[in-house]
Amino acid sequence: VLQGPEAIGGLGKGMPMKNPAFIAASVLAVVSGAAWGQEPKLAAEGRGLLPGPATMPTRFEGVAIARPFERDASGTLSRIVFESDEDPNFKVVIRDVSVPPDRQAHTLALPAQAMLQRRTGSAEFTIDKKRAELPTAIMTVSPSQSVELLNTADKNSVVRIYRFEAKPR
Amino acid sequence: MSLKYRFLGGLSAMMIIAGGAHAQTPWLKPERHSLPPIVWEWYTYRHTGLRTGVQPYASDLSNPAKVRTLDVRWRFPADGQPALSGGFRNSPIVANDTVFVGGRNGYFYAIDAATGVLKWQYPKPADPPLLAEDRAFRYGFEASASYWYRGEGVDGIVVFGAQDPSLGPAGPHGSYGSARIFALNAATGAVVWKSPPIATIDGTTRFDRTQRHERIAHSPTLLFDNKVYLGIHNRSDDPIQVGRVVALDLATGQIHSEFKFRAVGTEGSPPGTRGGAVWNAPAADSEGVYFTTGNTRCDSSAVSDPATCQAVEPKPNHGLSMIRVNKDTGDVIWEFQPVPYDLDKDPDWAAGAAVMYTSCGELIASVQKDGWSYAVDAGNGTPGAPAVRWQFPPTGFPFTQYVHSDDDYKRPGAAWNDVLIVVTGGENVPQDVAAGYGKLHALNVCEKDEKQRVRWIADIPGATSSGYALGAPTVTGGIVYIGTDQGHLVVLADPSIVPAAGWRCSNIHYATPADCTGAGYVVVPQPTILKDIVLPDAGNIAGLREEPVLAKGRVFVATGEGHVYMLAP
Repeated sequence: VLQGPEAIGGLGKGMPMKNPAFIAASVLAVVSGAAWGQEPKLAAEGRGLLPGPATMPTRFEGVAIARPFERDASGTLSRIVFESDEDPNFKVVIRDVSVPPDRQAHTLALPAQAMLQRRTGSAEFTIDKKRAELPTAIMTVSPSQSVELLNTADKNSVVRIYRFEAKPR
Repeated sequence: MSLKYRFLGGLSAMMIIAGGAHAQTPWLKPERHSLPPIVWEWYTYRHTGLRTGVQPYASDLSNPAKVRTLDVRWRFPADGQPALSGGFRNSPIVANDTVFVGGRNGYFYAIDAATGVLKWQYPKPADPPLLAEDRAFRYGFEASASYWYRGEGVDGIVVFGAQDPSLGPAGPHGSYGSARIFALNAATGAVVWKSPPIATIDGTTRFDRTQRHERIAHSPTLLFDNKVYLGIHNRSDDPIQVGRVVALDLATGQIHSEFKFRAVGTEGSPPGTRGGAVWNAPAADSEGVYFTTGNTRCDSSAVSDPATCQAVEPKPNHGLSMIRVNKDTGDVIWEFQPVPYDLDKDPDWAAGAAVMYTSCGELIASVQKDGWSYAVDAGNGTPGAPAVRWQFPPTGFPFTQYVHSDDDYKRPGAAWNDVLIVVTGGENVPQDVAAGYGKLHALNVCEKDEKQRVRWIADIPGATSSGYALGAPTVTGGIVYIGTDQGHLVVLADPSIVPAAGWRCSNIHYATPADCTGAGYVVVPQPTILKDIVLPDAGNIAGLREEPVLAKGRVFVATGEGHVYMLAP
């Protein structure tokens, strides 16, 4: 876009169109433009963040993931990773629990012998009121033990529960 | 101010204004990459040696309204002629209004970009193809060529790697087909030079570590600093080979003996010391050469017999790394190895590197096969530790946990200024590694707040949910092009260009807005799909080194069913 004379380097004010420098430069620019007429211009660039929604959507778009996090009756967000009911003696369930970053203690209901493993995040882990380092290695917890999880970070923590439930004979 | 200076000032300003709209290809030093000042066509895999996958110049392909009218304009071979036997498993390049592409049949073709008419082919139809005679290890063309621009009015040269049965060595079923680089006159197809052998196959016994099973199938050539660079890898890790990058003189095809990059061990290492295959296209900025390397610890035989893994980690071990090397010597300037040897269950770093000139500096970005993506500062050429800008998702490195295995995040991302558009594992990759297949993530590479790393997430229609569902994306002006394994060319728009179609969680495992934000994630756009075209032969265009090529307002793709298509609005 050709700008007015003030925008192109302090050319004389008052009579810009009669200024010989402006006229000469304009002619040259037109000639140059014609010569470059077949050359491409740069396309839009990818800069800056996109704005968020003006109002929070009520639902999401997109293809639903096969195993999303869903709330159970206790309000805990979890997703089943693996489930097997094939063995006549016991059932195996592997479940990921999402511990929200809300600085509140969340009681984990474990009806059967289970093994726990922190997968991501940094939730604190309390067993029978004793604070424990939430391990990345697997640790065993019995159903009689009280387990609480507390996440003081700014993002969720995922704890994987490997549960083995004996079937009634 | 005198009239003279007023005149010069006015002239300069006008030239700047006019010239600004016709700028040289951004960030590129064309003479270093043997390219013209304006790269409006597609001179190599991912457009230029920066490997951005971005066409920076505007055309109808960057105009959302025009894109909605995109359709097939010609195909090669033309209607009524048989498709190419074996099909295509790599992308064309386009230069000087000519499409160059090699088929799996071992022949290389030059096609008129406007009409689809064949200009020449190499070898000629009556001559044997560039394939091994011993069928066990023959592979045809699986990587794109590169175009050497030599000036206005001078014939360009196309440079590509291929097997050459005339090289031998001889086996019981004919030549094993070692590989070399070819340089052909782009106007005539005449041979300019052939390099000495650069990758050797001297036997076909699986898992025999006394044999060399070197291949160049998946490593498109890089033309940079008057050299040709290429990576050496293996076939299916049976067994893995010593990963290498070779450099040849661009003018003569002779090997630069002073450039040496060996991924593991030294020349004096015990026999059987192997690993660090270079499966990808080397990249370059103005000074450095960048690439990524594969696994080291085990051959694919370890699936049934873990005892076949190497007992001791090779020294040095440049495997599973993103690497910058000195362009003249191959010496490592920095290397980034997030997955240590002990956790190496074959998470090759296969996608290669993209050079990103961003508003926060020059970054080298890529996704590893296990689904984690990274950006590393390019640095200034001084050897030292890598400066890792970010990891996505940010779980920490070097890893001490998680399974890092043979997953399928193998395609490079498109580096659109401050945005990396890539098939990557997503926020929940430690728990669900396959969740990113069939999707594109756009990542804000300069953002310091990790919550804002995800710019948008798109489901790509017309694709399976497998790890080989999508090819590499390409972009022009925020319009994203991607091919699928079911023969769809899908076009979508960054929401800065066309309003989003809807919203979703930056961690796709959260199904409601309340759960998403409650878990510490953010609501991000789902881009609008502008066009979803099923190619007439429905051929796969999502091969390991396939991409939609964007050249002067036209799209070019080559399918597994044996056609090259040109599409235009």
